[in-house]
Amino acid sequence: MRGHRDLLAVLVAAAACAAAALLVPVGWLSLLLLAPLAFFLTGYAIAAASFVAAPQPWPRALWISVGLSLAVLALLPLPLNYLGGLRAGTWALALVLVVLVACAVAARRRPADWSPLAFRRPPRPPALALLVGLGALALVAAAVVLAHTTLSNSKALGFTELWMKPAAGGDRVRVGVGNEEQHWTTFVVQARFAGGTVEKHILSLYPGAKTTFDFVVLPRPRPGRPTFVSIVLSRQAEESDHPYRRVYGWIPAGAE
Amino acid sequence: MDGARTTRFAVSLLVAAAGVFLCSLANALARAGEEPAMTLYILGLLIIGLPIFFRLLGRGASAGERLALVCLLGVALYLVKVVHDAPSFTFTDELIHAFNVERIGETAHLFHHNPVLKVTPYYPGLEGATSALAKICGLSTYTAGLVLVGVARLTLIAALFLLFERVGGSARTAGLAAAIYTTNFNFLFWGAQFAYESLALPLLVIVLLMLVERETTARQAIREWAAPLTVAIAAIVVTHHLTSYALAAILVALAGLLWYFARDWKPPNPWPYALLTVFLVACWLAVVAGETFSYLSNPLSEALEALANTISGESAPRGLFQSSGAAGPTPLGARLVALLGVALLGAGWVLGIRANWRRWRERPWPLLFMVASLGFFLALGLRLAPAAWETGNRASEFFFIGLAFVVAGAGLTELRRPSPRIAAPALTAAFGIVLVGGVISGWPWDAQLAKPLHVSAEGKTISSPPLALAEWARAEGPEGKWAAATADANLLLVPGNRDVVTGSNPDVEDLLTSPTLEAWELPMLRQNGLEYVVADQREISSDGLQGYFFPLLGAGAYDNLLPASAVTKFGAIPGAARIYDNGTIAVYDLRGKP
Repeated sequence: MRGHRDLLAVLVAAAACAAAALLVPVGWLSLLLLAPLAFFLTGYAIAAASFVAAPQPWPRALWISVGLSLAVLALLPLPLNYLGGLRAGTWALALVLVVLVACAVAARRRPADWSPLAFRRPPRPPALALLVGLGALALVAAAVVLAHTTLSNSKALGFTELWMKPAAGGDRVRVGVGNEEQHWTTFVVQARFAGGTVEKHILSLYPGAKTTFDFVVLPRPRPGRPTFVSIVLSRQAEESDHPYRRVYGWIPAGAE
Repeated sequence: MDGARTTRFAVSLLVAAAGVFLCSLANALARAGEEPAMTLYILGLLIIGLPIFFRLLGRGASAGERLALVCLLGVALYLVKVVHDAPSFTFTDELIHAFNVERIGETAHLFHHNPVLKVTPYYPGLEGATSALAKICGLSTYTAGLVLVGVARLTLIAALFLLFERVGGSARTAGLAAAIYTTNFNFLFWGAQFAYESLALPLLVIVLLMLVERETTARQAIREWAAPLTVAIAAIVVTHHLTSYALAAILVALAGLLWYFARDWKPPNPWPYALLTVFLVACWLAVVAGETFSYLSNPLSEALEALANTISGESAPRGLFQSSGAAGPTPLGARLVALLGVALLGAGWVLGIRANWRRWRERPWPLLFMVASLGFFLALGLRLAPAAWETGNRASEFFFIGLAFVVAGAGLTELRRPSPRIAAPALTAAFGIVLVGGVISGWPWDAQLAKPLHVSAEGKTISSPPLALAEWARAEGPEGKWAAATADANLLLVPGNRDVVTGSNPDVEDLLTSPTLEAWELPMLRQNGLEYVVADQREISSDGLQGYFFPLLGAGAYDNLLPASAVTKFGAIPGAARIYDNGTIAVYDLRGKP
C-alpha cells in the first residue's frame, strides 16, 4: 500500500471500525462505528480496485461506493453461509477481508504515477446553519421519541387472556391469566375436574400483568386415563353464570 | 455549497424536520384516538415536499444543493414511514422478512423454511445484510432493518438524481425528476417497508447509474466497470426476483436501443451485462429458487386472465380505491385529489413527451424513459382488473423512473413560458397534489395513520388481542404446526416464533371463516399436520395490513365479527382442547385425547 495513502487509510479505518463495533456493547454506538465500514468502505475499496484509469469524481464516487457496499452486504451471506456461518465475528472479518483484498488489488493495479482525483473539502458551515441544523435534528429526535411513546387511548377495548397447559409432574394443570384490560381487575378462576371437584383461585392484576398458578388435578390422571379439566374465569365485579373466558382440555395433554 | 446556500439548506432541513414532526404528531393523535390527525398528516407531507420542490424549480441552487435537497426529501419521507409504525414492524411483508432474519440469527445460516411466504428465504440479500448489522451491533431486527432500508432509500434517491443528471445533462432536470419520483404511489409506504424490493430497487438504480457513467468513459477504460457492475447485478439477483427480471428486461431493451442508434454491438453497448443478468437469474432459479416459478406464475396468470375478462366484459372492472382487505372507504375529497394527481401526471406526460421527443428522440436513455413512462399509464389500466391490481401496482415503481424524467422535462418547459412567476408556484401546487394523491392511491385511506398496537393503561402497557396471542405463543405456546388467519399468522411468525400456515393453500382461509365444520376440514388439518388452530372471530384478522390492532369503541369495533360458531366449531372435534382464550381469539389443540 506504500504510496497509496487513501488505501492505507481505508484499510486501517475498516479494521478499526470492525473491532470497535464488535467491542462496544451499546447497540446504537456500535452501529455508528460500524456504519462507515458497512455502508461505504467496502464499496470504496471495490471502486478503488476497479477504477484505476478513470477514477470517478465526487459525488458519483460516494454514491457508487455506498451502492456497492449495499451489494456486498447482500452478497456476503452466501459465502459466509458455508464458511463459518453468519456470526458477529465472521461478518466483521469478512467485511474487513473484502476491503483488504480490494485495496491490495487497487495498489497492484495503480501505476506508479497514479494520483487520486482532487477532493475539494467542503467549506465550514456558518454558525447559523449549524444552529438551524441542530434544531432540525432536535425536531426529528422529538418525532422519533413521540413515535416510540406508548399513549393511552380510552377507546381501545381491553380484554383478558386465559390459558392452560400441563405442569411438570403430570398431575397439575398450569393456568395463566393476562390482564390486558384498561384497569386493575380482580378475577375469579374456577377449575372443574371430570370427577366433579371444583377449585377456586382469586387474583388481582394491574393492566399488562400476567401470572400463572397451578391446580392439582383431581382425580389424579393415570397412564392411559387422562383427566378432563375445564377452567373458567370471571371478573369479580360481574361474577355471573356466563363465563368471561373459558379453556379446557386433558391432563396430560395431547402427545405431551 | 457556499455559506448562504448552506444556511438556506439548513432552513430547508428545519422545515422538513417540522413536517416529519407534524406527521409523527398526527400518528400519535391517531394512536390516542384523537382528532384531527389526518389534516395534520397531510399538512406535514406538504411541509416536507413543497419548499424543497419550489427551491428545486429555481435557477439559484447549485448541483450539490439540489442533490442535498432531493436526499433530504427522500429521507424525510422515509421518516414519515418510520414514525408511522415505531417501534415494531406492522406491514405484512415486514413480519415475514423479519422472521427470516430471526431464523438466520438463531442458526447463523440461510435458507430456512418460511411457512407463510415460502419463496422469501431463497432471496436472502436483504435478510443477510440485516443480520450483519443485528449480529455485529447486537441490534434488534427492527432497528437493523430500519437502518438498512434507510440507507437504501437514500442511495435510491441520490442515484436517481445522478442518473437523471447524466441523461438530461442538467442538475435542475435531475432535481425535479428525482423529486417527482417521490410522488409515485409506492414511495411513502410500500417501497419503504422492510422487504426485499426495498433493497433491490436502489441496487437496480445503481446499476443504471453505473451503465450511464460507463458510456462516458474512454474506450480503453470501459472494462473497469465490469467488476462493480457484476457485483451489483449479482446482489440484485440474490435479493429480489421481480427486480432482477425487471433489470434483465431493461438491459435487453437498452442494448437493443443502443444497437439501433449505433448499429454496433461494441462497448458501451451493455449486451454482456444483459446476458450476465439473464444467466445469473436462470442459475439462481435452477439451483436455489425453483419455487419462484409457482409463486409468480399463479398471480401473473390470474392477472392476465382477470385483465382479459375485464376487457371482454366477462367480469366487472374493479372499482378504484377498493382494497382486497377490510379497509374502509376513501372519502370523496381524497379520491378527487388522487384522481387529480393522476390527471396532472397525465398532462405532464403529454407535455413532457413532446419536449423530450423533440430534443432526445435519437438518444437511447431518454427514449427508454419515454417508453417506461408510457408503461406507467398502461400499468394503471391493470388496476381496473381485480386480480391484476397488485401486478400493476408493483410495476408502477419501475415505470415511474421514466415518467419522472419525462414529467420533469414538461415542468421545465412550462417554466420557460412568459410567466415564470406564476408557473413556479403553480407547478409547486401541482407537485403537492401529485404527492398527496400518490400517497392516497398507494395505501388504504384508513391505514395512512398508525393504529394502537400497544396502549398505556394506569402507567402500564397493554397489547392488542392478536399481539397478546403472539406474545403468549412465544412465551408459553406449544411447539408444532399452527393454522391462523393472515394477521394472526404474521404476528405468530414475529414475535410469536411459531411454525404457522395461512392463506388458501392449504385452505386455512375457508377453514377459519366457515360457520360449521365442513367434511373436508378435518382431513385437511390432518393431511397438513396442523396441530393448533387459532380461531379468530374478527373478520379483520384476514387483513395483513390492519388486523393487528386494538378494536376501538365507537369505530365499529365488533361490527364485523364472524359467527361465534366459526370459533366454537373446533371444540366439537373429538379430543380437541381449548388452550387459550382472549375473547375474540381462541387456540385449539387438535392433537386429540391422549
